[in-house]
Amino acid sequence: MIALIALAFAEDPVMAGLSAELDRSMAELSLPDSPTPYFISYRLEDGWYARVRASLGAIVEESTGPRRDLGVEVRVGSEAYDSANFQAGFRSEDGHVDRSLVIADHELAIRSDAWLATDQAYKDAVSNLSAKEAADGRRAEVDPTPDFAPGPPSEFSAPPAARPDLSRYRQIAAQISERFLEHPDIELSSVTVYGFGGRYGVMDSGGTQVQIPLSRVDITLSAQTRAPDGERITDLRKLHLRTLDTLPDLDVIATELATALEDWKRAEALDESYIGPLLVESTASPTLFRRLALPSLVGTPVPDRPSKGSRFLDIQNDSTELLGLKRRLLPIGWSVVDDPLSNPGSSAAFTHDQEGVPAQRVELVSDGIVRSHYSSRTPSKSVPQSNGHARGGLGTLLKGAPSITVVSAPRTASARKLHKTAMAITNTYGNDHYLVVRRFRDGSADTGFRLGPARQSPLQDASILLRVYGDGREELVRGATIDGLQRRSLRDIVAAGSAGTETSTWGGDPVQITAPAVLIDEVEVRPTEESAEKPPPLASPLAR
Amino acid sequence: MWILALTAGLAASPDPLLSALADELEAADEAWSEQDDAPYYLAYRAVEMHRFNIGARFGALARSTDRRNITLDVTARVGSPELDSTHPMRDESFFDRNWHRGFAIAGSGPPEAIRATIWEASNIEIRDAQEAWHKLQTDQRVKVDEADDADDFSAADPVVDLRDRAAIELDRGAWEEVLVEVSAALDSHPDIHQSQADLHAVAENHYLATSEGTQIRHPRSWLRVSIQTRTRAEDGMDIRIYRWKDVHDPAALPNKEDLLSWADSLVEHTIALREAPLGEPYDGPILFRGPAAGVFIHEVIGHRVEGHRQKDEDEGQTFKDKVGTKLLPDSISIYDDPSIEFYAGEALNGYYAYDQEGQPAQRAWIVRDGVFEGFLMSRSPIDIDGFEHSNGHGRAATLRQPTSRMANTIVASNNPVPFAELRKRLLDEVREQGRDHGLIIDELAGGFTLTGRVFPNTFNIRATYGWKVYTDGRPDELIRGIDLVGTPLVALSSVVAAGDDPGVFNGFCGAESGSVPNAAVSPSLLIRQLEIQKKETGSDRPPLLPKPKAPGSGT
Repeated sequence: MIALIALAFAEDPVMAGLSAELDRSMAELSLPDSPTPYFISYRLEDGWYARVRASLGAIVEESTGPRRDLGVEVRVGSEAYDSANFQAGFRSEDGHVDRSLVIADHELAIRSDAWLATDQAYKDAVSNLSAKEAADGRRAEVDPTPDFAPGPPSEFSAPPAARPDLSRYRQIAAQISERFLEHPDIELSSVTVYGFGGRYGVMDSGGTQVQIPLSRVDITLSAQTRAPDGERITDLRKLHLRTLDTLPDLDVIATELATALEDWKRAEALDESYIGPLLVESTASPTLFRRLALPSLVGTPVPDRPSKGSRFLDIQNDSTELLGLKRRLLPIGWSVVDDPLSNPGSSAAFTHDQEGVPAQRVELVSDGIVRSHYSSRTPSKSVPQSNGHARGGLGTLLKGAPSITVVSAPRTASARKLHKTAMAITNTYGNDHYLVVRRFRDGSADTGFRLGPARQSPLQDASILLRVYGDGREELVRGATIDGLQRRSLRDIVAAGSAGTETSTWGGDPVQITAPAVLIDEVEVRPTEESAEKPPPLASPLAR
Repeated sequence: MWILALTAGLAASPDPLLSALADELEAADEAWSEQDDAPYYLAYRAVEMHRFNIGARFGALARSTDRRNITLDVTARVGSPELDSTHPMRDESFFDRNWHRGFAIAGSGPPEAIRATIWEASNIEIRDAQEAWHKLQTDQRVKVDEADDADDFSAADPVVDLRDRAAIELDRGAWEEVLVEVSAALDSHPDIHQSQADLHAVAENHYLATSEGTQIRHPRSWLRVSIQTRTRAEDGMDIRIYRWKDVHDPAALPNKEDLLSWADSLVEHTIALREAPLGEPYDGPILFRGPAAGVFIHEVIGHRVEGHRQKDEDEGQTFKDKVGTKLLPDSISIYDDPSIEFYAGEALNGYYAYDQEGQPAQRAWIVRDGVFEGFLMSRSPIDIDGFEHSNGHGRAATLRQPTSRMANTIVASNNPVPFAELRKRLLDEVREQGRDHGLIIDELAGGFTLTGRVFPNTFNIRATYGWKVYTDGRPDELIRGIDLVGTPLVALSSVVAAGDDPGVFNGFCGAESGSVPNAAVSPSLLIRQLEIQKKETGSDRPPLLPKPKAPGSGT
């Protein structure tokens, strides 16, 4: 098998070019009186992209073409203490560099691109190691956790995925976007179809040579409406598919989105604060756990910075949301498991992570207690080696991240039973109704970027929020802000229902989260303070 | 004279986008006119763009893309032409207020679908304009009167002109092959670390519909073929040289043989420059060759005669009171004329039929027979007699508010001097000043100028290289790492003579209203005295390993 893969790589001008330059760089790269590389890795994304956006049946934007990008990682020092995991300045220049490669299958040109990127990464790595040593020189104690975990080389090769079909994308975008013409209250809408088909490759100086197919299709339906008092809402339905073979009925999704917004438009605005139970239905609960629970399970440490007191410290350390091992994340009996191999048809599935490490099933939480973390080859105090979950951008230090995560409760209740439990809690507050989140307004949210630490709740906005009364009657509510939904709130889950699954993104990579509906015993929901803009004097052309 | 038959144009060639712009404009104008603080002027500007981008490096295709999109940009003015919501507020950066929000819009499909995007864009821009208008009124009350009380918006006749749409027919496959071959030639020397050959081709259709009745559709085609090399000298200086040609028609692009010849010359020149000594600070005579002289004029006088700067209290206003003053030798004139498509056989980058305010391109004299004559005007008038109206220079990149900008800035001489004579006169000046050498500047990478009051009112011209020319007959010596710096009035008073060799520098100019295409045209200019300063240098070593070679050709 190893010999076969080596042969396949040698016959591929891209892989052959990269391999030759990696070998030469390991053997020859050096600066005077400086360490030479002890590890070099090349990561490749190579394929064809297509993107089409349509509005109300007409194509608004489209582009397509080949894309081939390289990420280079150079480490100097040793696995115990090296140039990575430290950020000296505002920008990270720690030995990770990305660069576009030529799109032609031209071995020498590929080598030339890799040569320039590796040269830069090596110089950055040498500088970063020196800055790290200088910063650690003034610390009383230096964290003894190693910087890099050894691992056996991986060999694997599977054929690339097919190119996206632009004409099919055009047809889907135009056809589905046209559906919104039937909903004159939807002022603006669009359908975007983005796809990439090709391969992901990783090779390193430790002998890893992995090539896996890379295929994704992202479809975003976006629509906006406005209530009579001027409040506007834009909501999205995002699909992250591996291929169009598993395309659901988009007509249904478009109609559901339009209808939900039309209902929202007619809803009453929340006029007074509410304190009481909140039922997060299975259509919203995966978002709840993705935003509140999973960031606490990312084990890769945040890169260190110059110590406090140093004049070289220009910004403070990033906050980390990591919850250590043996700490309680969820109620007794709950579990969280991630297995990238559990659903091969999912866009979130992979056989090898982005460091080339074979994907592994990980039990992250059992009985509500944290047992492990998503990890890459950057060790943490809790997880000394990779468990095959390294994900991230090409030219960055990879971090542990979710892929296909399932959150399970020890027992689940029927919808009827959940309602009864919610009403029982409601009665203790002297209310006649409780609130239900059917969908969080989270369509564009992505944990890859967040301004500041999560002091405020990362989930304040529901696009579908309902009052539910004892007789089962439902009333849609708008203009509400949910306060205090924090990681800690998850310990206050009092009951769980049937599970729902969402596919979304994490730092740009697809993730699939399955989680049960949950009843939280107390949250505060208040009227949104922000005043809406006056409605325009002229109705939308679609409503005239 | 500019009002053509709208109905005939539309009937001959229905354009769904223009119809939607016009129809929604009429509806918005009527609906908003009944509101408080209604806009007195609305303009819908759309740019339909089709772009090819092909690039090659190291003898291989690096990219080949094809993109289409249409961007809608709405301008709303609340208040009155005398004082409106676009009026600058004190202590506010022009860059802060000069952005519009952009909307992707369809060019075909159901009319109400196109109009829905226009409607949304209008609502947002009108609300922004109303908010700005309220803030402005407070600003006017709490601050002292402004020195310039010119109106904010000048009257103009509406224009209706629907021209044929632009389209580019390009053999992409053939061009990919040409660029790959040229990039291999650029990569032929081991010390050329990076190089590339590129072709950009753009077909644009500019739409404008305003509440004054203007309805315009006019095309713009632009293609640029370019080659560039990059190396690093042993002292760490990053050396890049760029050669390019801009045309309006694919048939006018250079052929493969021409480009290969360019590549050979560029490689040779890059290597020579890598080995060349660094220039030293200097103040003395300088001879600019044609295209470089155009950039000198662009930076020294061009930005300072943009009309809107004469009413901005943060601006230096170097030439505001100079109308009728002699600035240059009698033989030299400068004008800006966007209506000129070709000059000295070259396509000019600043050519257009209408500016972004819908005003027809016109010639604007800046200096005539050595005497300063006037300014480049958008529809923002200034309180100087004769500059109450636009002269067709209201320009902006997409999503920016138009301001007065240069287009094709042209230097002309009625007493042209052959280059050999200019060189002789350079050496005469050098001897007169008691020096042993002067400088010839052939090629520039561009430049910038500071026109405000807070910082020194200076310019900096970024020379790619220069030649030391000695009085004792030694061969000319190539030098690198120099910038030319100075102040505008001193620099202009040092212009001695102009050559007979007009050269064209096609480029893009960035200012408050974004990056717009420009041409600077000038014959060679002899300057009695100008200052040279050292250019910043890099600190990185050249690549540590030699450039990879093909198997069998060594390591």
